[in-house]
Amino acid sequence: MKLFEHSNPTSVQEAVKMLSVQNARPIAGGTDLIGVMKDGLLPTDRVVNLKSIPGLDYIKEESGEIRLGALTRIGDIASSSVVAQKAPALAQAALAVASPQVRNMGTLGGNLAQKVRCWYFRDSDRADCYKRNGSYCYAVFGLSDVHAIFDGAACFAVQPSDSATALSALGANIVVAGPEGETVIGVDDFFIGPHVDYLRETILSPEQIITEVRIPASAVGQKSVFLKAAPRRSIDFARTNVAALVIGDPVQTVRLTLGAVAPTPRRATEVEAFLVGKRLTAEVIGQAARLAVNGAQPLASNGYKVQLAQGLVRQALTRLAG
Amino acid sequence: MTEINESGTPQDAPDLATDPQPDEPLSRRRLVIGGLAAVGAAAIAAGSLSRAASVVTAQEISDRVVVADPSLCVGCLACEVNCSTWHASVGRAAVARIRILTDPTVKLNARVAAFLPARAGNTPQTCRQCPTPWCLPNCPTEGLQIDPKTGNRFIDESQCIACGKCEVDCPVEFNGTLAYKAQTISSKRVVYDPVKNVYAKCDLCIGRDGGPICVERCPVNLAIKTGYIKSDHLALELKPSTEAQWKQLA
Repeated sequence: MKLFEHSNPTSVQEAVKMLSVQNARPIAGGTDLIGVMKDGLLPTDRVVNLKSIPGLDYIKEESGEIRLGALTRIGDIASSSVVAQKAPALAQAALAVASPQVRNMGTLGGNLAQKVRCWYFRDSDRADCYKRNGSYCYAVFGLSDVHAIFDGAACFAVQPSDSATALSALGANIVVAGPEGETVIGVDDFFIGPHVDYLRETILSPEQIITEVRIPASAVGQKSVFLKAAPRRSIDFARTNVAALVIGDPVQTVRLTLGAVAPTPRRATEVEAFLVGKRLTAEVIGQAARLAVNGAQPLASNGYKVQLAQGLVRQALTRLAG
Repeated sequence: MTEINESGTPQDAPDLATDPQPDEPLSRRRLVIGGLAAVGAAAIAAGSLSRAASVVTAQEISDRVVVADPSLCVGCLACEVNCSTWHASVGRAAVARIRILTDPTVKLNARVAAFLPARAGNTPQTCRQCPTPWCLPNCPTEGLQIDPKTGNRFIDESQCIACGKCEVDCPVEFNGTLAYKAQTISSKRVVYDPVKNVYAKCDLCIGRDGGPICVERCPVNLAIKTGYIKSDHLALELKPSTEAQWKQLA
């Protein structure tokens, strides 16, 4: 591994300042960044350790919202009774992340801001990958098992975060701190696809960090579910995941998000519009599942994700109907 | 009077009143002068200044134009993304000048379909580098120019005042459903960039070594060039911009 500088800020403002030099990267649990650095995927000259900032590791209820500090470990979210009772989709997503060891190190902020798991990006020999400021996507004519079936644009890597899918379905907001101060952004606006910028997966600029995630009062205590399909159930990134929130019977409000099928968590807005005012009968759920994959354009070897997504949507809505 | 044929190309092109200097970009003003000399004051009186002024000589036809074969397009959007990224990186508007629209009637070339059967139905839409540059004559500044060496019609952003006249005069549209998120688009092929408050059009990546980036980075083109897919032509190709070619595009 190349030599790098290590900084220990004691406040968010100090961290932001330390990140303002070229090739500085924030580290929390490090479960993603260390791999990226070891493989030499992205140039890193300074690592800014966010763990030295006090007060960013919490789960609390405030103003009807559930607020989670960015340094809250995934394992703590998975075992939180508050999250399990009031935002079950997030608890289920947290429990589905990687292994217990990784969950005990990885943080919520890191899970949202991680780099993609595309096997061409992660292959240190493929320096011409778009994500590494190159000019080619190997997935288009290569093996595309883990790649996007929706919204691919030049690059076909998918957003790998499980918590992102759940938080999208819960309509969460993300608090971001940067040189200009603090901003609150909806999860659906937080993630960006390659059509906007293929070098980034989120709107975060190099100096910005996540400080908090807020689950809105409208979603707290409502029925929600998260499901994930991966080759290995005990530890793996999702090939497809889905999260749904349903309020009312007949349905008054529904949010349905598919993950790992597109460069960003993908809200199934067509399905949501279809479900409003309906009861979740088997027939309605079947129609919704088919609608969820409408317009999918798989590559050579990821056509299975179409069926997978359809099946997961059916299962998720069936659970919420029961 | 010089007549304009159906394709918009002058049948017998007039001489310009003032010959352009070899290294001087052919400006809107010079074209107006040339056009006016050719068609006379009657055309002005008839209120047809813009169209009359756009009558240009044959050598002002662009040398090249990007031509697409929809049957070889897999809708990966590498062209759109690279177009906007490159233009942004050189300080020009970050708007894609090439757009991929969906067209369910388009069948994929069998050799491409052997790899990517589910990615048919895309049709790349490009600037046609019209023989008569309709976008140019009404530009009130020197924003729209013609490169004297190549005939390439391009926008000099430093001179663009975003009046939108080029957009109004552009005779072709992006009209339909985009491959990108199935968004509906209805705009001219001279497009507005609200961020920079300028207009943008395909300039064949003027100043870029290697030519248009969409042609260079199209993965189907690369697959054809490396022999992975056999085809006697590319998905996106830089071709001579002849009148016959323009008619084909139209």
